[in-house]
Amino acid sequence: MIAFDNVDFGYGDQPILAGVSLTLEPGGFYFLTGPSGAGKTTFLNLVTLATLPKAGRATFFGIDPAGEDRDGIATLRQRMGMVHQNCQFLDHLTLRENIALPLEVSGRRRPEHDGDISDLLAWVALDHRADAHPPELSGGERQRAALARAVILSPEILVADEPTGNIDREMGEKVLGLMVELNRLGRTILVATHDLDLIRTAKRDVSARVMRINDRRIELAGAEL
Amino acid sequence: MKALASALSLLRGDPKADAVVPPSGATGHLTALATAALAFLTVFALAASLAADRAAARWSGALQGQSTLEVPITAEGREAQAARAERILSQTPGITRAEQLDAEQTRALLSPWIGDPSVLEAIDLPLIFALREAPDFDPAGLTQRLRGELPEAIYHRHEAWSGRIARTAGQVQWLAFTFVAICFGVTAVVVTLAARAALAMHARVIETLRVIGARDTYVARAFVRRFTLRGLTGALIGTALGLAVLAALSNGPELSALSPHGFGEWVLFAIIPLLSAILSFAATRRAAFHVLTRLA
Repeated sequence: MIAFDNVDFGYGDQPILAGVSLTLEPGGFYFLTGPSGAGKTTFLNLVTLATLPKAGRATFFGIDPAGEDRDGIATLRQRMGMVHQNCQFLDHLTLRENIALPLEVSGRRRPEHDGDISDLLAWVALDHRADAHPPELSGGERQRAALARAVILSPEILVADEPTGNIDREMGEKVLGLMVELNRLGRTILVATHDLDLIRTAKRDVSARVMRINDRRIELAGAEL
Repeated sequence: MKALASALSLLRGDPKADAVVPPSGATGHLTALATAALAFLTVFALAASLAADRAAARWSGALQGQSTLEVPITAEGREAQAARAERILSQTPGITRAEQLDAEQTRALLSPWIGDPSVLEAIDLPLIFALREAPDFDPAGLTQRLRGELPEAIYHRHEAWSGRIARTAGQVQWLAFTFVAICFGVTAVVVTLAARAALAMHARVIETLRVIGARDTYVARAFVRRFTLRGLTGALIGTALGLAVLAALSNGPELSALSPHGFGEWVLFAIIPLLSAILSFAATRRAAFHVLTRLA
């Protein structure tokens, strides 16, 4: 699905990731862990095409983004869902409108999607907040709303950056539970987190692979998890 | 063709897409105000340019094919000199009309230059002949003949003056055109700055849209349409106000020359809001894509 072959990335002369070679398989559940500043977010930026490799080759759904123009890269992004730690919403739109936004920007919005949006809101237990504006939502509600927005286009992969970083344990497990559900529906999940307890909890329910960033390289974590 | 389709797509608008970008508040109103002020000034610059063009055409037309023969009175005497001049003029091919001004007409002609009427009474006024020339008239031939047969005569060709007037009017016209161009240039700069300010203000919105897979055209569309409409609205108001003032001025004698003549000239002013809208469109589109291409 997404393959990296000897990929390097850095800012200016400062290397962040070096020689990254891995493949994210369809239907896989992946955790990415490592200390703060190790390059987790940078790797997620590479996975979500927010940045492109400095060296090496990366392919997304069989497509090399190096040969794509900006519209082509935007189209690839529409096949992914992204949940940030600090979920970004358009504050002047309601929660329902924010969740529908990916449908709008991809030109796929149809009247029949109203029901899908209601179903999604119910799935993340926010149906009673549909008309609220993002600043009115709590941290946990924002995370769940971000998850709903990320899956509205039925993405092939969901990428989450510290999705439980700003919420309490109970809410974190709820968000994780939703991602496990998605994985069971065949979606690939990639979660960057430094919360090892969260990884242990997930591994009880799914067969997750854990990757760790160590000295600018990404390696499979050992059995200590 | 693709660019035109893209432009039409951007202008067609989509209320939902437009709603993605929050209102820009004062920035938007100030853009429309600045565009209105520039359109108002452009109306007067264009009116001045058209007035200069009309004046040049009128003056050149009025002086075309006309000349004057001035004969200072010598010891030979007024009647003898007049008879000699009339004979030369009547025998010169291409002179279609030669009319000698009487004393009253000559005084009227000279009085603006001399000033004091008593001076005109005291001097021996020269003979003045107003000449009309056919297109094939040879002025060099007449000059040569006068040099031999009436050497005191001074031959004035009006075309020399009309050329200078036309050149001066042309310079005024270019100056006005330059002013028009500057106004449009400043319009583009103002809209670009306002668009960049709006894009910077809404950087988080743009980032969010990019994250969820929005294409550059989608993001740019809301900004471009908004600023194009502001440019058009401001320019329409400014042009309408400018034309209203011009219409009011046409009632007075001093600046009536500035008021447009004929349907064609009035229509020309419709270009101002149209061009302002096109400039606003191009400036915002360029600014938007410039900002967007700097993002990943």
